[in-house]
Amino acid sequence: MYLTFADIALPLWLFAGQWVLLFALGFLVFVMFRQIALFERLKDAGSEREGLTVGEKAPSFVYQPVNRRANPPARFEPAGSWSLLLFADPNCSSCQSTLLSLERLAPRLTQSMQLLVATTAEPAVIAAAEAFRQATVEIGRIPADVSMRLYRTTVTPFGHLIDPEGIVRAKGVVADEASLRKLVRQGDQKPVNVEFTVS
Amino acid sequence: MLQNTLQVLIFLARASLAAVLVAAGAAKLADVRGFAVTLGGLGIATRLDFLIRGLAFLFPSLELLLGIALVSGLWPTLINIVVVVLMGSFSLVVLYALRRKLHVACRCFGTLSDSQFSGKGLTRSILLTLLAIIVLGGGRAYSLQFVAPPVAILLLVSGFLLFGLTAAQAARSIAVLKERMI
Repeated sequence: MYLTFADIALPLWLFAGQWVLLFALGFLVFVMFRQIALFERLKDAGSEREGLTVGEKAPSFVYQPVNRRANPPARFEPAGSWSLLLFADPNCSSCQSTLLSLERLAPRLTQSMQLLVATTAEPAVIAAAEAFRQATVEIGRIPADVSMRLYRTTVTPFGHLIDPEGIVRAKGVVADEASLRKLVRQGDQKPVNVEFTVS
Repeated sequence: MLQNTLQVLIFLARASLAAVLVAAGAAKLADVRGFAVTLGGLGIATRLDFLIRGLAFLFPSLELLLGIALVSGLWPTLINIVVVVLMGSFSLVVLYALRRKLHVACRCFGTLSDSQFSGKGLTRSILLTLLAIIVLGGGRAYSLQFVAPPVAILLLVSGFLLFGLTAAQAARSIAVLKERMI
């Protein structure tokens, strides 16, 4: 079957296919720009609006340990020692690389602070992500309310550095080892006497 | 006149299905690791790592091949049946994820979409299944054989392949941007 336009006979299938292809390409461009705009917005929001305000008291919460043999619910108490709380999602690849970086830094950090990687993901999703499955740092499952409402964190990987008084000293998106080190050093620059250093 | 309009609509529906399959397949192939995490989250035993990785590669490849087969006009009835089965299976998977309340990223279009399995996703999946059924039914009423020179068909297939490459590249670029921005 042919369609005729200005003396040009086009096979109907070719006609339909070309128009759909044109619209599909247009839609793809739209989706790309939409995603880029979304990431830009997240970037702006990432370090400024996300998370607890520096100087604010960090709340405690109950979590379900994931990588312990016996796993009764545990409580995260951000007081008594320095704490690094990292919100991460096994679905995000930068969270996986941050977790690997944290693993490398953990031997030094754990001497002076407690570490917790908190996630809202299902156990099967956690088990499916290699970095999470093989992690030795404490990983805890939390209800979405803890990250979204209690800590006002919607992007991952996002870290909070909390001092022994339970006060947030630094926070930010920690998408790689450099930003993780920077977050920990931010705590060092405060007038509070910090006993740890990460070289 | 009505007959012609219906045939044009069925051709448009078929080309749309092909575009969706090519985009979804290519974008997933650009992020096989992410799709493997989704499969793991759906309950496939994580100890069967080899199976998960295999399926994460197999499903998108099948989607891409089916999309191209739809455009090429080869074995229209057989290809349409396989597309209906595939779309129906996707709807069932979304339904399963919703009923189990699994908080798993869908990655139906790789990194082109960030959404989790949702009612909206289920509606989209059911609509695509219905579209595939309409195309299959239309194939019984109208000839789906393409009357066009082979070169023209080849050019159209190339166009869709290029579209697939663009979708894969877009998915990769978005993944890189995401890594840097977040």
